[in-house]
Amino acid sequence: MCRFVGYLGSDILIADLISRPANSLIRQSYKARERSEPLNGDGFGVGWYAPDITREPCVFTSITPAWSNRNFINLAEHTRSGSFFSHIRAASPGMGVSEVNCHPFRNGSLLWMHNGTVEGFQAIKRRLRNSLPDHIYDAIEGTTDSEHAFALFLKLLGEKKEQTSAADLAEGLVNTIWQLEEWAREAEISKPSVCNFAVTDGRAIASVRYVSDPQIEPISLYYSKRGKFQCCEGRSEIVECCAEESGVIIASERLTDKSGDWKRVAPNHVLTVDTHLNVKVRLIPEV
Amino acid sequence: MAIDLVCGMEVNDYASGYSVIYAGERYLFCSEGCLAEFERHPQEYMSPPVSCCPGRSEEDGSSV
Repeated sequence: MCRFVGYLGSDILIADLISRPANSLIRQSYKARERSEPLNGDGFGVGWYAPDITREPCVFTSITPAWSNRNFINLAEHTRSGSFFSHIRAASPGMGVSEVNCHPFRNGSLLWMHNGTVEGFQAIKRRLRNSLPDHIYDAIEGTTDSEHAFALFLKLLGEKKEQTSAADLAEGLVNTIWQLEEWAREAEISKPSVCNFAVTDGRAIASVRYVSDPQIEPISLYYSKRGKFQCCEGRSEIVECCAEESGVIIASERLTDKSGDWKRVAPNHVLTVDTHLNVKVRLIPEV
Repeated sequence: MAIDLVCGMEVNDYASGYSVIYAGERYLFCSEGCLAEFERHPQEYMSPPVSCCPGRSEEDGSSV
C-alpha cells in the first residue's frame, strides 16, 4: 500500500523527513507502523522543487529498497527544498517493479503520488486511456493505476494546469475520484478503492484520504501542525515558529512520537495547504 | 452549529444524521466516514485529559 510524505514551507533538508525522524520514511520502508504488512521495499522516489532554477521539480527514483540506497540518503543529506514529495513503494500484485512505476510522478510543474489501490483498474484502464487527449496519453510511461489516475487528474484539471491554486488542485482530486467511482460502478466493480492521492505544484498541496466504502477504515494520512520541523541529537519535533521558518507536512504515518504534532485527515475529506501554509479540510461530497 | 470533532467542519445541529453518544455527551459529524472514524479512535478526538499529577508532562511522563 506504500507510504509517503510531502512538505511545503521554508527550506529544510530532505533528510529531515526521510531519514532523521524516529519514524522516518526510510524506517517505514522496512518497518511501517500503521499497515499490517510493514515492508515497502519495491522502490522509492523523491521529487523536489528548486524555484530559483526552474518551476519544474527534479525527480529521483530507484527500484532498490529505500533503506539500502546510499545515493538516496546522501542526496537527502545535501539537498534543501521548501517543497518536496517522497514515496516508498509496495507494488500491487501484477504491477511491475520499474523506475517508471515509482512515485512521485511528474508532469510539467506538478508532482503526484498515491497510497492505495484503484480496485478493478484493469477493467477500466482502456476506458480511462481512451478518454485522454494525446499529450496526456503520450506522457504515461508506466503501467500503474496511480500514474493513470494522475493522467485522469491532468485531463480534468484542464487549462488550469499552468496556473493552479490549492482549491484547483483539490477540485481536480475530487473530480478524479468521482470519475473513477463512476467507471467502477459501470464496470460493476464491487470491491472498494483506496485512494490517498497527493498533488503539488510546488506552491500548494492537495491530498485526499479516501475509501469507496465509508464503513471501511481508510489507510492512514496525517498532517502536521504548522511549525518548524527540527531534528537535533536524534530527537525530532515540530516547534512553533515565525511564518518565515514554518512548514506543513503531510504523511502516511506520524514521523515523530509526539502525537500532539499530528492530526489525522478525516476519512473521505480533501486537505489543502495553500501558499501561505493555511490548511483546510473539507468533506468530499458524494456523487 | 456544532463542530465535527474529526474534521473540524461546522455541522448543522438539526440536519446532521450522523451522531453518537460518548461519555454521556452527544457528538455530531458531517459524514458517515467521520462518525466511523470517531468510533474507531474516540480518545484521539477528545480533549486531552487534565494531568492528575501537576508538574508532570502528559507526553512523556517526565517531570517538567
